[in-house]
Amino acid sequence: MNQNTFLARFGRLVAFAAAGFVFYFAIITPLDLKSQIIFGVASIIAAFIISRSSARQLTIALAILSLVMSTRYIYWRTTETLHFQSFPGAFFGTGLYLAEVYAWLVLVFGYFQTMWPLERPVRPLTGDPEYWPTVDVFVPTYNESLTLVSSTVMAALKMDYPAGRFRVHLLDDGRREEFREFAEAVGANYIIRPDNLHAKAGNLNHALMVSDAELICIFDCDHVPTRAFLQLTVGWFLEDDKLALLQTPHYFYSPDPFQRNLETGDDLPGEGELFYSSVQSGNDLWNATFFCGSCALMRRSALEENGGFAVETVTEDAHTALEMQKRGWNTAYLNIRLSAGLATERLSLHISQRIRWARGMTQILRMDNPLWGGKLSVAQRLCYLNAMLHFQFALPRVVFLTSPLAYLLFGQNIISATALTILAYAGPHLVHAAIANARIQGKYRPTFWGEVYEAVLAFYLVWPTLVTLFDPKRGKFNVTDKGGLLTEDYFDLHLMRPHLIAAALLVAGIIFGLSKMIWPDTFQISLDTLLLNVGWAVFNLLILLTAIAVARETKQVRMQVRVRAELPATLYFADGHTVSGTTQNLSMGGVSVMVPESFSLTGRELTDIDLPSGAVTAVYPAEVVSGSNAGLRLRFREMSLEARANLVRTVMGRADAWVSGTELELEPEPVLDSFTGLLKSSSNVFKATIGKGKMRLQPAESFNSNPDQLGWWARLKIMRSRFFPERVIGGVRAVFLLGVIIGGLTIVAGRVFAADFDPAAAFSGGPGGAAPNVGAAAPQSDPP
Amino acid sequence: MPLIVVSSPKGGVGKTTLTANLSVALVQAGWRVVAIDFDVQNELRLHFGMPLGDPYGFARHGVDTQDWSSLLLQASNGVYVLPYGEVSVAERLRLEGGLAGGRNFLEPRLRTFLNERDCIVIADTAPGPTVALGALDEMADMRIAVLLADATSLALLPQIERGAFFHASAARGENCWYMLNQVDSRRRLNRDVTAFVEGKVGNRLVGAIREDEAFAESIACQHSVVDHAPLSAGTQDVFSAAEVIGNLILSVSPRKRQAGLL
Repeated sequence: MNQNTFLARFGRLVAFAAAGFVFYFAIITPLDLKSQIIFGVASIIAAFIISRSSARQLTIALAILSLVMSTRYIYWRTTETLHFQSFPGAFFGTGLYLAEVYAWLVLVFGYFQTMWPLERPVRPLTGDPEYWPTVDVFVPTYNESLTLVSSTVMAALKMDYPAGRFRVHLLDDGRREEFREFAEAVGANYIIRPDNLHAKAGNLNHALMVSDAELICIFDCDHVPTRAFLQLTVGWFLEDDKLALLQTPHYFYSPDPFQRNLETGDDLPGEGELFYSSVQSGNDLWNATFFCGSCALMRRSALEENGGFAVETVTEDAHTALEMQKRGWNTAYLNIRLSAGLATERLSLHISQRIRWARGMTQILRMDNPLWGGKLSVAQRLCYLNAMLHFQFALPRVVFLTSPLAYLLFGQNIISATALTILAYAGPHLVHAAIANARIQGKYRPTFWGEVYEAVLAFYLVWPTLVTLFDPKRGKFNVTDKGGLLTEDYFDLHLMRPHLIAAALLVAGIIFGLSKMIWPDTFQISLDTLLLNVGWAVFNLLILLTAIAVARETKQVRMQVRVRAELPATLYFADGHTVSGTTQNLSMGGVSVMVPESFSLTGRELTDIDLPSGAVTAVYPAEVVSGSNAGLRLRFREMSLEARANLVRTVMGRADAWVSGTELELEPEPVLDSFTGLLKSSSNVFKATIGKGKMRLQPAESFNSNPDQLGWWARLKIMRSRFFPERVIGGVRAVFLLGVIIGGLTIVAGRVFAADFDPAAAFSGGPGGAAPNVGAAAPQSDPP
Repeated sequence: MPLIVVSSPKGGVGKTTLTANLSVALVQAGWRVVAIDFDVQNELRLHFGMPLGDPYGFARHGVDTQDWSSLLLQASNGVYVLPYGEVSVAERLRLEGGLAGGRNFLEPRLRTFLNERDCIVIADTAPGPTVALGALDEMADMRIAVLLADATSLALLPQIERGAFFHASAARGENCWYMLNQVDSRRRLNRDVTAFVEGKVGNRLVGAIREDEAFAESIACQHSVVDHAPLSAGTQDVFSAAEVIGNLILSVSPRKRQAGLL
């Protein structure tokens, strides 16, 4: 070792040690209230100054600042606030404390994981195409419709890759005759097996045994690849002999339940966006990208060494990646949208999918914990651990949502500190976390939306995750249902029952709290503690109302989702005339085109339309549904299998089909804007009850009188009865009434038993929305 | 200034219709265009609204007239036209005798047009090798072979590429340009031939004109398709071909008027 490198190392060591000391003291030094406030405000001002520059190094500085302030908060909570006066107080207080520790852990790991996304470039394929690696493309299916599966298979067959170097296999666990015929007709290999053991993992393992290519490419049967998929992904396997997996993002071209059901949903990035843009790119830096079940390329030798896909858990994908990495294989992530699929249609399906993921990740945590065993680096262990920890969010989230009730309804101390002290410590912790997270991931997930996503799922995930944590062998694989239609709007009241009850309790708590303010003498309250808790409850209520609004299912009538694309088209008419047009959007079912204003359509019968498909132009039989020159809507007629294969390539197989979507979300949303978005979205739930929402106003058919002459209330009622069954309105109304009644009763009880109220309650309170933000630090939302 | 020769080894490929429509499209792009009909069938004039019974043409006076600009007609859409005219056999042979003189005969007679800075001369020829084509071939700045998107083109294309059709270009080591007519992607063979030609000649394909009933209708009305059905797909293709040709001319001869095109 020469002297220079020694000096450099020594210097770095000294710098780290010095920084460590500074952080250590910043975390543990006790300050009086005034100094803590000054310290907090100063640090926030510093963060704002730092965040004016967009340099990547300063992102790290912000995260470190946030870590220090959050750790200081947790240190303070641990050392000074855990004195409880009653058993219920101790119970709730400890629960909240543990939830906060969990959130802090996820925050720390999350920063570590997402701080420096790798942004891996494409490694171009070189050399003679005749020597490119051979690829077996697997499309596993179980009970999905042929319409859905056929698009994927045909698009896979049309990928740009030397014809003799790849094969497409349809792995049909449903053993359906029409699937066999389809596969034979288009030239795909049809594979079935004698049993359905181990569901998808078993299906893939069986296919591994009857195929032999060097690389395995996997597409879920609803993920349609673009023609460029193999060309852009195979290269890395030539570069790195130890590469076992290259994952690409799952992009959904249909709106997820949040985007579809919320009025502000159009501006909302997809729910999975954070995971695929920020978390997986971050994992890639640490060589810890994990397999997400689809849209990925794997090396056969790695899988074979591993004994195939893991079958012990219900999330075989993440587990398989972990097992391979424990054997020393590498993984990679290429953040380019090279395929597209359907998002889950309904909230209920979204929830059941996430229950499976949460269960599977918890199983891995118990059965194959990433912290020990195998050849993993510390960083890899932490990334995998965080992915599994993320799915434990359910119980902490419920605790955060309901904690203000401990004080508001039951007068319990859960943090022994004054409201102002809590604010002085929790404030910087929350604000720093919000600033750093908005910077790291704001463009993929606006502030506060992590809370909403978690709030929707939390009540349903508590039990499955807890059960699995104690007994990991329980639970079986359930297939996520896709491709269905919603023929009418409806409010999934049943699904939202726990949320409505929690919301009602919060309303009760807020009303009770406000009434305490009106009669302060009766209750001997401390105004600031009360305000803190009411504020926290209001915030939680907003989150819950937004979550509830997602359950107001907007109808989805179109069988095929339309994709926006401007492509040159030729329209052919029965009289021999042709005209050029430009497409506006297209789907597998039809296309909307613009033709020159003065081209006369009257009396002309359209027969065909041609559109570019890959390098060639293909003609599709079509007929006019409606519209004028400015937007002519055509429906495709019955066509040959070959034409349909071309159409798949036109609609979904274009190499640049999904690229443009990313540009829409480049700007991170300012924290305040996302708060107003939240306000709007949460107000959706009220729109649901009066029947407006996204729908247009229409005069009711059953009334002969002109609706304009009716009073506004009468009109509202008409609209309401048209769009919502009485039962649903009744249910929502009942829950809110219940809240008001509970609140009222508590007030009465409080006045009667005023003497029982502990003046010490003045010293209780919660960390105002504290942990919510923290919990959202780096949701590992998307394993399978 | 430039002379463009439109020809084809095979008849009935729509040369005359294309010549007429390209002329109109080039006029609309701001060029002055002289369209000359070297085909004894004398059909070019019909695209410009000239009465069927009118026997007027340059063929009768071509040999004696030293400058053909004095014989010029102008159509209402702005294109200058030199119809072939009705001639007796003797008159036709006399013109062909002159044309056999090649460049020496033709160049002085077209000099006025060729000296105009923003003027394009488009010559329509009879199918196959003719005397007129021989003379034009020697002088042309651009040779366009029109092919149909059908199986015969598969045989013709290699011949033309070998220089068996335009002798002068082959002698000078130049390539000629192509236009595909009656392209119809609804028909498989048609589609395949189009792809084949595109693959073979690359960017020397100045245009692929889609099959369109509007062409037939416009001839019946004695209009160019550009005037008759300005929005049809076929017209769009004519316009794009005209644009390609216009750009080629500008890039090839910098002497061409760069700005101020009307």
